Amino acid sequence: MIDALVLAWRSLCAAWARSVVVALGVAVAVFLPLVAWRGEAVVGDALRARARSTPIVVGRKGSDLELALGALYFRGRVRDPLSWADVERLRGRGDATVVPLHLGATSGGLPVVGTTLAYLDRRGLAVAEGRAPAVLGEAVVGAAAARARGLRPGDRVQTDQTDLYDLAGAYPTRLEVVGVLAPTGTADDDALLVDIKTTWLVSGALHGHAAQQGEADPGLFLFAEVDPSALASFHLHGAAADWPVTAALLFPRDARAHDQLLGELAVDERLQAVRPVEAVETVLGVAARALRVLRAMLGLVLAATLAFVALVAALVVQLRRREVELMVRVGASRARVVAVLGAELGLLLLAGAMLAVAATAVVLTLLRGVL
Amino acid sequence: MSPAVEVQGAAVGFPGGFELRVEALTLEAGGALAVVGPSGVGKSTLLRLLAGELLPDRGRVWVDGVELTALSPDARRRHRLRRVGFVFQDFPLVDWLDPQENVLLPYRLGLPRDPGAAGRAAALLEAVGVTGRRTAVLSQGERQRVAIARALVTQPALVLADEPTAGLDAARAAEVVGLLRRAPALVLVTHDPAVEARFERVLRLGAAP
Repeated sequence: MIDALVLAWRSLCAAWARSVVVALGVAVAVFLPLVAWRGEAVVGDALRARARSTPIVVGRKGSDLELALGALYFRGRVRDPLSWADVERLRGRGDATVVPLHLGATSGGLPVVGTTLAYLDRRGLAVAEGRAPAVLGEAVVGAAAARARGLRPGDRVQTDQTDLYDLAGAYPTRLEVVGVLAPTGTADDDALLVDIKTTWLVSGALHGHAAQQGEADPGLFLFAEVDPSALASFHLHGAAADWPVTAALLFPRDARAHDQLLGELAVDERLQAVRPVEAVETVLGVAARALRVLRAMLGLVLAATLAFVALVAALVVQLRRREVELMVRVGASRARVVAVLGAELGLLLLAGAMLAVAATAVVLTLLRGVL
Repeated sequence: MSPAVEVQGAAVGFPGGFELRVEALTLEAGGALAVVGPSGVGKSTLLRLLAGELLPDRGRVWVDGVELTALSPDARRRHRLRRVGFVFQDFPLVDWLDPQENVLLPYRLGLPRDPGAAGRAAALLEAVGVTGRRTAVLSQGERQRVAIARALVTQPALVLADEPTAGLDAARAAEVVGLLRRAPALVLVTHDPAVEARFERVLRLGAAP
């Protein structure tokens, strides 16, 4: 067999251009269905894992998918937020840990997520470098975001201008990075986590008065950066009950509390409770239908490529008829000749498959990084 | 010592009524035989009989003391690989192997490992004057010389050569025949009178009266 492999290898090297084309063709044909199959599994597993770790998401009545995806992945925009009073009411029940989330602000395109320290505990997020945010204006950065933007504790980042014509508030705000999270392979890796009051500051709902504005003009101005000496002056206008909260993650004490919360919120006139697992399964169900069509097409691509490889193999055998005849006349068995030609085909298929597997691994790694 | 070749009463029939008959033929070890005759008379068929590629319809054939007509097809193939060297008319080599690898091809096709084979191949290539070249750029004469080295490297009992000088000029043809005469026993088919003249024994095949 080694002799057959040596001869096959020498033949493939001699016709290296043809070998590369065939191997690449095989690689593409194997890669497409493979990455679709494994990608579907990876995406599904990642979405399900994140969803399972979040028993209930509560928000205002509206799109359950929008609410679930916003709360899990910080994507999209929840137009009609809860109020802080809703959060307090849920907390007052005492049968679940309630973690508020406020979204909407971004920094360099990365979501700025306002929450509480309970979020870090519930998600199992560890601070790899620095510390968790303690006061207004501090942020802890996800591992991927920190790597991509080269952020370390002590750096400052600025939020994005959301509405250029909103003269009433929402100015870009400079946040101080006080920590970097350990990587988790989830959406938290690509986010900036801040105290929820900081997101209110970014949105303009919260403001402070400068301590050093001079005696002549101790007036009101909007902060672009939190001055630690002026922390005490920050305040919200309006009733605390009206402060906006995008969603609340609920971690019920036990199964009974879980069912009770779902039951009661199901008849609530203003709020809705979403089980992220169900929302994710809905999304995956839609995706699966599309993927079935895609898989059928990829199956055709695979079949066409294999037919192409078979055609090339047949043509090569034709072209090499004299070589085959020579081998047989010298005394090679038919099995040996078949082994040589089969080894060539096998090496090409193996090379193509290995390329496909390597490319799939790279794509899946990238995919896991963005989920 | 067994004769290199012995044929007794062999006959091979072909469609259309033509039949090659060899009543008796013996070639002792160390001997050389030229086979001549008009085209289509069965010269190449005789070589195929001696190589064991073809069985006679009747009669018996021995090569190096082994009765080919009593062997299975696979045993005849193995015997050919081990004991018979073949040089063809159309200079066939494997272009994607270098000359040394071409000479050693029988060892890639089923012959057991032989530690001395590489040394013999190098010496044969040196002797035939083809070293350090790519197979694809060799001239016809050089290709035939490499083919002869391939036929000799296994130290066969018999070398069969089917018009090995066809297409070569007289000088090259003389070189090729000179190399082939190194074989322990040689049966060579030719149309060339100059080649024929270099053989003491000549078998003339012709149409039966």
